[in-house]
Amino acid sequence: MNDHDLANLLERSAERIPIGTPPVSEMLVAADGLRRRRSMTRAAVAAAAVVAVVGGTALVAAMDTNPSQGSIDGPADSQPAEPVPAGTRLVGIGNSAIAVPEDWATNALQCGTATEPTVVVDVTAIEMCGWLSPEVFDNVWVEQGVNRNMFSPIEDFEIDGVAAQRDETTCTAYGDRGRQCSGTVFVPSANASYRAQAATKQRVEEILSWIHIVPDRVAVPGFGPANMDHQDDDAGEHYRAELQAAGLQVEVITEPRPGFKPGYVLGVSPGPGTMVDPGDVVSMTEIAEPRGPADEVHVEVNSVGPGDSMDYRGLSDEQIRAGAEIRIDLGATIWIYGQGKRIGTLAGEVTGPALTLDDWEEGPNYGRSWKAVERGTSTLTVSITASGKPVTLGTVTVIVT
Amino acid sequence: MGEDGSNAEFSEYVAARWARLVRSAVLLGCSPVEAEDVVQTALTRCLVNWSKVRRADDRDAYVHRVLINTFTSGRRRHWMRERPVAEVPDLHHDDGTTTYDDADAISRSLQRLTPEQRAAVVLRYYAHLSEQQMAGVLGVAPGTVKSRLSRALKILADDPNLSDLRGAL
Repeated sequence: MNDHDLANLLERSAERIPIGTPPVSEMLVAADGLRRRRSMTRAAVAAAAVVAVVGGTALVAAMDTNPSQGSIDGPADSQPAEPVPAGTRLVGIGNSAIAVPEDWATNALQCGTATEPTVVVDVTAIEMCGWLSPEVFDNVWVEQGVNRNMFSPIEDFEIDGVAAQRDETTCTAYGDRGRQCSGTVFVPSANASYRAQAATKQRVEEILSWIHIVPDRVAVPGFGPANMDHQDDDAGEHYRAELQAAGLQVEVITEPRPGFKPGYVLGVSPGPGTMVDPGDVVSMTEIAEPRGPADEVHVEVNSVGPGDSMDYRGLSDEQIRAGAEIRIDLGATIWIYGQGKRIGTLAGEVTGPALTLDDWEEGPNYGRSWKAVERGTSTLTVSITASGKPVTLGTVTVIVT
Repeated sequence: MGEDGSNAEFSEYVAARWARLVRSAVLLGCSPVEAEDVVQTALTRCLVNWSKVRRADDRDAYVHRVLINTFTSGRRRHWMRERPVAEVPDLHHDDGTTTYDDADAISRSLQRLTPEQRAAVVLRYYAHLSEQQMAGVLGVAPGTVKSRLSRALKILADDPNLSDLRGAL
């Protein structure tokens, strides 16, 4: 085999592969979203938290320069309004908030693109993929800080007496489906930005007119930045401090998640962006400290086959620990693997005639594998070794049919 | 150059290279559909850092490095799905013909290689990168590139399926 032969063979083989049209629009949109997320994250990390002290208690509308364009969903003029306009809910940062229609979703995104009308809050990671929804749905991103690379203020104005800035609403092609327009309002005193996206400039302006200052309330801070910025640290501790700094009382709930980092924040209730009264109690849920060696690993059981069949089946860590059952076909391969502390000691002990050892590769994460050689039942006991003693993680019943 | 300029330059690059990159991904082991996803993800990553791509001494090598990294990280998540085997089992075709398909034969031969050897073969003999470029793309020493290619070529040379095809060239 010489170089020329091989190059020719590959060329000939490759020519038969059908090629679709490159999805350039999807890639451009996805890259734009990723750039914004990346820069926004940097801005959020760098920005100091600023708590505004603003007098008064009424929620008033602001920025609506043309009352005739007011929406039934938002405030129609600049008259003092009820704490929450009818049919809306407030989502914000600090004491700034936007009153979005109650029927809008929260974080309804796919590949960073809205799949329905939605408010987006505390999203620190989006899938790296290019996908365009069939149409441009109204959405507003409520974010800490502002992306200075993307935000060029053209106007200083006030929202309820509080300084704010806005950039020019611009529109770009949205695949072959029309246009997507966006505009941003930044409220420096709350270090909050509101980026609205919609199919028309008018709609963007309308959405941005729903921003309010709510002086006697405070938004529940998001936990995404704490998790992201304190990956080698106790994220929960930092988030607790952030909640307390916002004037909230904190109830901590812990959940065991074997193999995952203790302190990682799983959620908060009420959710990020919800406007609450200072002194209110919020419940945050974080991953519990391990109770023992078994909590320091995460394992899975999977199977494939028989032969070239791509019939994948599997059990989660939770199912294994609960003592689950898995059915596989004669000739299939089944294996265990995992991650975490002492994973190099991962072992499986089989009883019963249905499985025989078929280790195909050794290594710290490969665990063990077996072949289904006989119809019937075997049990697979998954364990690690800690301080010289076996620690059983769970027992799986394997039924070979 | 502003974002519009970058997008235009990117679009031109994609138009010129899309087919070859997708086919490279198939030769690396992706299905055609998966290959388009992998290349789309890799090119999106490149676009996010297009200024780096533009500054790179060798644009194709940079893009291939991102492609290989994207492919490899995707495979790590599905590490059990493919593995090199000593004996490749016969595949059963449902087209009812006994015609031996060249593309299938080449695909089966490539399956005999380790992922590292396969990447080396595709980069050298389909993407036509130099060994020096490949060292940068794969993040290994040039000597490692040589040894991977050498071992891969030996395995392929011993493959009777490819011997038949070579004769037909």
